[in-house]
Amino acid sequence: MNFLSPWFLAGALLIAGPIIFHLIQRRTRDRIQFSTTRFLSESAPRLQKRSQIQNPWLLILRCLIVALLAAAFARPFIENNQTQLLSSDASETRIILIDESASMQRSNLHANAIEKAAEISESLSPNTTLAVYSFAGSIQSIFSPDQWNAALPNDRPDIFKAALANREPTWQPTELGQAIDFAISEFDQFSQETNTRSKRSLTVVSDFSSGSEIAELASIDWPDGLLIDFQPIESETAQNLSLQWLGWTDPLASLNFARVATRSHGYENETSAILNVADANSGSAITETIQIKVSPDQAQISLIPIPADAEGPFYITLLGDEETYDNRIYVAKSEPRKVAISLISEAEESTLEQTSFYVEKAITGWKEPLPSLSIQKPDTSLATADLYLIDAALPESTAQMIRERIDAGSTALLFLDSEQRLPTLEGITRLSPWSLNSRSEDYALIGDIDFQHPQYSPFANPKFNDFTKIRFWNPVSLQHPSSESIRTTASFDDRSPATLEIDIGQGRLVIWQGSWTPQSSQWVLSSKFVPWFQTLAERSLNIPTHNPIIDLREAASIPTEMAKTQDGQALQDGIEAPGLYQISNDNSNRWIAANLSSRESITTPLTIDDWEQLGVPLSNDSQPASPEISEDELKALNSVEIESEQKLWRWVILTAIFFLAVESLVAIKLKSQSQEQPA
Amino acid sequence: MAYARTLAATFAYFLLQQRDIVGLGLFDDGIQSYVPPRWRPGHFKRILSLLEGKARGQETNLSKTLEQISNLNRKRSLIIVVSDFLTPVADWEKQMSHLVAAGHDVRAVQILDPAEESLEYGKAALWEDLETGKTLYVDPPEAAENYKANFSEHQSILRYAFEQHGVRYQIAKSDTPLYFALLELIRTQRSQARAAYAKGGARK
Repeated sequence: MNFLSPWFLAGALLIAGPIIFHLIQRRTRDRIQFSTTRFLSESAPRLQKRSQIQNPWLLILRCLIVALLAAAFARPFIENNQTQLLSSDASETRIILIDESASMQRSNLHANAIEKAAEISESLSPNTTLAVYSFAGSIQSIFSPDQWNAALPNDRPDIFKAALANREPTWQPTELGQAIDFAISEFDQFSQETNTRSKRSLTVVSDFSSGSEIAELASIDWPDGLLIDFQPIESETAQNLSLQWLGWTDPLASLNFARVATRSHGYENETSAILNVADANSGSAITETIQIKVSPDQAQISLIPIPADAEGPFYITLLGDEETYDNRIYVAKSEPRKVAISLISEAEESTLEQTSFYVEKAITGWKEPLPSLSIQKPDTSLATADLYLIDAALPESTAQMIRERIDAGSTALLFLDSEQRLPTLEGITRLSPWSLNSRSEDYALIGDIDFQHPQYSPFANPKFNDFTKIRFWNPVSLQHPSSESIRTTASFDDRSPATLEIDIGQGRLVIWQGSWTPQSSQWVLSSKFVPWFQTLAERSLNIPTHNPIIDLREAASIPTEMAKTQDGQALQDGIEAPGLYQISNDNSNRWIAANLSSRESITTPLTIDDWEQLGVPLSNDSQPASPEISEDELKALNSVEIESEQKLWRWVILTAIFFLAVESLVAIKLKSQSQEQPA
Repeated sequence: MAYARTLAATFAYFLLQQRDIVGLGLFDDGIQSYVPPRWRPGHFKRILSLLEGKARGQETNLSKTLEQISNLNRKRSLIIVVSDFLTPVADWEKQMSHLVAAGHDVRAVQILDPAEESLEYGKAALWEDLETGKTLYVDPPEAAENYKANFSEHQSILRYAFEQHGVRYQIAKSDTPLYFALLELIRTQRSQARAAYAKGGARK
């Protein structure tokens, strides 16, 4: 048993109070009438003899209450094994975070960082457990605590250096806040795993460029006892010019301009530079070089004319800056996605009565996605397409093939306007029974639409969600098999499905009850038809719309297997470096330009003030004024933590309250007894 | 108080039985109620009803009382003064001597509670003087020794004063039967040759 504030135990001296009060015969308020007081002299209050202590049990209770209160204020705690671990030679857990962001590409910064980390590892005591992580856009473990503990103390520096030997800086942004937050959670996890409370030290080796993402640090709940040691790696010069892509002036104009900003960081005077635009494939310049002058800490925006016939991709290079890692940006022109639509129909000609007529009209003028329509007979071999429009009863083999295409990711739309097409439906869905029952009404209306569904969500706005003016002639009711995979996306006023959707493999089958002709409904004449069709065409494409000029963080979301390098090589780990990449799927091939995050170009280092504003607990190495935590202080910190976990004072107070209640009862009883006795 | 009243009633009854005329006066700071000496039917009842009355509880003024008795009884009488006689003797000694000098047979019956002798009574408390109302914090075990000394000194002075002035004096302790006091009175009365007539004054 130990006490956090032992000086409060002096309060136990107040025990003398009850004892003295019990010894002093109480000056009573009782009155006794006597014949005369002439012969009496006044008595002074006097101490009772020990044998005459009144109500010894009451006295014991009162003494106990005082002692318990004193003990509670002294904040008792029980020292356990965990506390023993926290002595001066107790273990320390140290995490080193090494910055491998793009700004570390400068001169020898990364090599110096590795060297610094190795130096730190050599200075550690044998009781220290070390973990090393690199951070940039993501956090990677370089050296785990298990590796460190498994190695003999003498071998550790060599093993550590070997683990760091092949490290290279990445092109990712500096997510410093995220990395420190991660390290704090690692400390907690390590404590839980090993069930120890070792001293925690965090060392960050970085250039601490101002472009680092540190906003998260403001919301971190810093654990007690954690100090962060910042080890800055300084470059020879903090001066840098950066390039930033701002966009095109007007993509549709015959002469298009690329808008580019050149920023100056750390330069004290106006700086001259040259911008050079070259075709990425040939390497030849496509415009004349552009001379620019950039004022200190200012941005110079340049408009670079790009000839309409130059298809690209391009890169823009900045000449005249010593730090070259961020002197090139890549530009790709946006290319629309292509969607191949195949209409399977028995119609010979595209007349006003045929679905093909309305499909051809609907796709006219689409820019994104760019459609290509092919019309084929049901019995011919199936063309490759993203979207199949089935306006015929298909032979079983064709239905099977459609099924396979859907499995592979295509979308099919089946017009179900007669019972002859039910076998086709069963062939594709492999579900049964389906049936069509005629209705007595002249026409049906759309009764219910699932606006949450992606096919109808563009119409969710109240301006566009009125489908009630569209009449569907000679309505029939579609009965479908009960299956969880069938989703009714719209239904008629008799609750029979108007459109159904079934996910099959990687693709989907959409069933349209009726057909796209004026004889069947007013649908093809309504304003809803083209947007609905376009939504379906977009959904049939498996590549999302992409801005062709993105930064590396966005590029990380592109699946590795879809991206190839500029010269067509497959990528190992996705897009990791700035450059031009080919994104391809079955039907389309386009360029994207991945550029460095513009924040990585802000190379002026962060200052101590920046850290202090964020409340970062800097260690003495980072901040010379702060004293080192002594062994006693460490013990005290530990005691505070143990005491706050055990909270024994609560139980002591509860016991005191219990005794107080007993004391009150005893006192009341004794008083009532004494009142019963005659004076 | 009850003991003194009963004792007075006992004396009165006894004297009436032997055909003496008996009067009664109750006093505190003077005689408050008085029944003149008579012998007639119903007189004893009058005496009893006076004794049953409520005491006023004023401070005792024995000197004034003795003076008033002297004035009320011009004939030589047997005067029995029943009191605790705890007031200072010097205050009333002179008036007592006047009474004796006037030819009265004066008897003093001092009513005492045993506790008044030993102070083996009560507990540490505020002790209130019944007559003056004065209060003192008294712890009996502590105060007893001093009290006893003061009390016995008072008693010595009292006894000496009575002897000096020829007043027969007896103590009636409240824990002793009444007839002890009566017997004591009779014994002294018989040895008293000149007590042909008797008039009594009694107080509690």
